[in-house]
Amino acid sequence: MTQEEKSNWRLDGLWTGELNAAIKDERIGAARTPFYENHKWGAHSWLNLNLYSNRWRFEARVEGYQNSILRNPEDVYTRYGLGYFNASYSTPKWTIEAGHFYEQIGQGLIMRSYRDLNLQIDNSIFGAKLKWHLPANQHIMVYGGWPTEDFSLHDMFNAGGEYRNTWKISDVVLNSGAGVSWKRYHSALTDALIDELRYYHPRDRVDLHRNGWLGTLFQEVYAGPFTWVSEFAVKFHDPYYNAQASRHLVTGEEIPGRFETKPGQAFYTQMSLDLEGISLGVEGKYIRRFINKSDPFSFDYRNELNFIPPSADVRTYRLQARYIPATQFLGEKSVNSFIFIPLGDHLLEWKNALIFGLDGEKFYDDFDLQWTWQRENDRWVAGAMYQTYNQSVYEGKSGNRIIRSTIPYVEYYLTWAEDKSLKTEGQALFTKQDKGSLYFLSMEYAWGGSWTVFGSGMYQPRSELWYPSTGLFFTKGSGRYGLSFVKQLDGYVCSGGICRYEPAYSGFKFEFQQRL
Amino acid sequence: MIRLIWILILWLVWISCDDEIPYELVQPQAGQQKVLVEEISGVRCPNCPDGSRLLEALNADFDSSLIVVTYHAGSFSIPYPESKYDFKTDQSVALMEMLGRPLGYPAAAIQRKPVPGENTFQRYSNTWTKVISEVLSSDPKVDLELEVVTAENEVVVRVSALFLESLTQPVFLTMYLTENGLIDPQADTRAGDEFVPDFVHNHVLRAILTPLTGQLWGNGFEALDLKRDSLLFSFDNFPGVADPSKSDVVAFLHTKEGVLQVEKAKAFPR
Repeated sequence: MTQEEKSNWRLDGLWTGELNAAIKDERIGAARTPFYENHKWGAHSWLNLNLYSNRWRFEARVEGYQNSILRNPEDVYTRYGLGYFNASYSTPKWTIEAGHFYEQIGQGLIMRSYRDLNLQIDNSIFGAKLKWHLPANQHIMVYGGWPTEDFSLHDMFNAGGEYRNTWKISDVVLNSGAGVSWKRYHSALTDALIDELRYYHPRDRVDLHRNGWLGTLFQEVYAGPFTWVSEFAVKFHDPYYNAQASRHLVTGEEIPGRFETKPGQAFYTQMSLDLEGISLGVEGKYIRRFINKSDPFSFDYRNELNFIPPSADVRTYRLQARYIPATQFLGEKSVNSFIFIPLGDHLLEWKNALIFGLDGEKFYDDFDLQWTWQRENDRWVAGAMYQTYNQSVYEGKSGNRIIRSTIPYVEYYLTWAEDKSLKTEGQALFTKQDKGSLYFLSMEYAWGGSWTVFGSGMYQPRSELWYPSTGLFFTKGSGRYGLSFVKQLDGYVCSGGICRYEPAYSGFKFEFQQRL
Repeated sequence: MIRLIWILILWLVWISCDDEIPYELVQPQAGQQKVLVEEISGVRCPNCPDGSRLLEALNADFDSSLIVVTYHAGSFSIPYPESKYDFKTDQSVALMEMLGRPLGYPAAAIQRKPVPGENTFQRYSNTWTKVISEVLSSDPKVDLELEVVTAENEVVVRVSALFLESLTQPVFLTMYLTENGLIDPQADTRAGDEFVPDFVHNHVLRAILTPLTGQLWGNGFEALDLKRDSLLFSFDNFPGVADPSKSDVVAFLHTKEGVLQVEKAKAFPR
């Protein structure tokens, strides 16, 4: 370490957290869990610290969970520890990292290690990673390590790499690459699998391998307003649980669910054209047996080693997100398209998602038309979406439950006097299925550059239930603090394309975020 | 460095070439192998009771693994004038024709194992122990279960078979109705005048519930295939059965090479 480097050391950080206090409400289902019945409160917090110089960088994240409902709202979770530590050294030609690290190969079909702490996702890999920056915009990345979960390591070694070359043909920029991910299963994992597989009927015998492989080829093309991204990936010898396949019993019966190691394929492509008067885009996806987990026994999305986003546009804070079509890793083909037409201050957006099973059965579709009118001090957003959602497929409900819903929404956002703003929003979800229709109104007022207060209410006519929420947020410098009272309908909470089911919530929340 | 990466890749490919993890599937626990003894007899056969006594002793020696069916046929099977019953039936005679006419008595077909070099299944009693022992030394190929449900005189027999090995030849199911505790005269060399007027006749074949050669169950089965079948009959159709409560159903699966497994259940389980 040179004297110059020593003098350039900097330290910064981010401290975030949330404290929840329970107010039991049997009517909405916020009850009968340890959080509501026993502990009455819970909290979680992350303290990120970064120490870095020109070439060195040390990152650490201290995590604490006390009666936390973040991991599993049906239970509480209490753990403290160092959740992440990374040391890296960079030169203009290469970068080496050790400890926990995040990475992605291609679009993430075969490997994406990432964090989304809002859903307590942190599937970092603990090991080492090396990146070379080769001449002519070529890059090579290799890594090796153990997938992590909750301060521990999985019984699997994962290594791989990516070659990427950015090159040009005239004005067309191309980004071409290939990647591979290798999974070496520890005997603890294979023994556990064998303990299960050895009781399978000979017809269902599974060939089990010590190593699993995933490979991918990807290509990105940027030609002026035209963008085309595509990736094709395969996997083989990787065990996964196929909940849709059936397995024979010696009694002659069949039961659903079995392990398999059959090869899988995934194809993803996205094309868009950005012209002055119109933007068009289409996204397509084909997935066949492409579950890639660090633990084949797990049903937890936290154990996924790759990332394939849902085909529908996820709008977390709209009722459109009530029925979200999570990616079906066992089999899905989908098309997602959009058209944006700017007309002066106005923007018209048309989005359409179509998702089918590999046998052609329709899983989901939506048709969303949105209008935005943006002026100097205010903005109108209004639209409507029609949605068809196969609840049996996405939520495992029995039968063939199809939910058809129409979701109109309108939002008005107004700013005045430099530091005041008001946002009002009205939404409805009309459906005869599931729990029936929902109506939602909210208002948010911000003033003085520091304060925000909001109030909202959701009404569910079929059960005659109200879900009121209100809160106050204060922002000062690099800190943000909020206290709110929340009654929340059960449903899906989405973040970064990942959605999970959350039971109803009732109680106070204190949340904070402070840069250090 | 590039060379190092190539070496690493080659090493990975090499260790992945033969990386299948061997493991054995758990086989279901097979039931006890049982032996079908189709004993030919006749009320006038003085040596036949000796055969029956030997079979009782062997059954005790072989841990109750014998299922004996006694059918009356041949020249010794003509009833005495004082006989209440005629155990000989058209079916029992046909069975004898199929299994072979014995040259001497006692004789029995053991697990329908053909006698090597001869066109018969009939074996003399001095070979029974050896054949039974051979049969019992091998693992069962089928796990056979028999369940009988009776309502009034109607009987439902349910058979289920779990094949423990794959079989590539036709498999047949045969079912017998037998009766125990029939008291009737019997010739017996051990008796003073070689005649016992109140001999207790057990496991006497009263009816063959399936075709004589068996009901075809399949032309082959895979290991762990499970097959179920059921058969319905009424005691009203078998007036010869003296006391249904003392009757049994015997079911067995067989191929041309012999019986795979046999089971017996009370025909009147109440």
